[in-house]
Amino acid sequence: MTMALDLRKFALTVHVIVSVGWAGAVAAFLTLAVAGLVSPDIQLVRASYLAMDLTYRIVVIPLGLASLGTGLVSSLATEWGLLRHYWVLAKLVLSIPAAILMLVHVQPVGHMAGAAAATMLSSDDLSGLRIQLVLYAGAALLVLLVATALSTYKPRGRTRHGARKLEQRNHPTPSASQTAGATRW
Amino acid sequence: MPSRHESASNAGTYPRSASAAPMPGWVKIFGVIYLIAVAIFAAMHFAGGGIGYLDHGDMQGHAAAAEHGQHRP
Repeated sequence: MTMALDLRKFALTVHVIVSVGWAGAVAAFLTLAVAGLVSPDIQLVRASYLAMDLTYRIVVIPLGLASLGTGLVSSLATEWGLLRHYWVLAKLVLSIPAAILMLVHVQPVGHMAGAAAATMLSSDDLSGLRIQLVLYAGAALLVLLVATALSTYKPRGRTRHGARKLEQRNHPTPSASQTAGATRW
Repeated sequence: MPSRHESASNAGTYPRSASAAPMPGWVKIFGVIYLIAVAIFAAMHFAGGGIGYLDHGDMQGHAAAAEHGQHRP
């Protein structure tokens, strides 16, 4: 299953845009989380957590899901494949848990914003959750930077599945070539 | 129509042919770091931290306070 070159470039462009946007949004989220944790200014702390909730729901989650979706399309619809190269596989095992954790954290971020809206948070209030938000945002940013580096450098290495596919392409059996010809579009 | 060099250097173009090789070293290093990170995350989570703050702990008091609109200095 391969796409035409123009369509492939378009899918890749969308994937790069939403992925970089995702990393940028997580960086902004981390900045707000750090400000909410360490700032002595109560108004700044409240504003940070309210902005975090808004940013998370409106920017981080849509971009994260779009990045995962466009990444799957870009890999499955090209010769790179999803399971043929180790760097693509590595991005997959980084992105899927990151997306799941991102969705799981909607509730804590919302609770934090609710508490910030309704009460004047002191430096000790919800300290565990505030530290957790900083740590997870930092870890998420690190994961996204690693995924970006993998996409840029594309370190060599084929999986067994990828090597088998390559072998089939280089030395097709009559039945395999007929099947491949029938499914290519 | 992109040239051969251009298409080879662009991200998202078709990969070069390569013969089957043993697992590269970077994959082994990546796997070890990944497993360590997962273990740390799991240890933090099951040690009472992580998302568990929502289920028990200081979150409930603030949820109740938020419902009643209490302001704490």
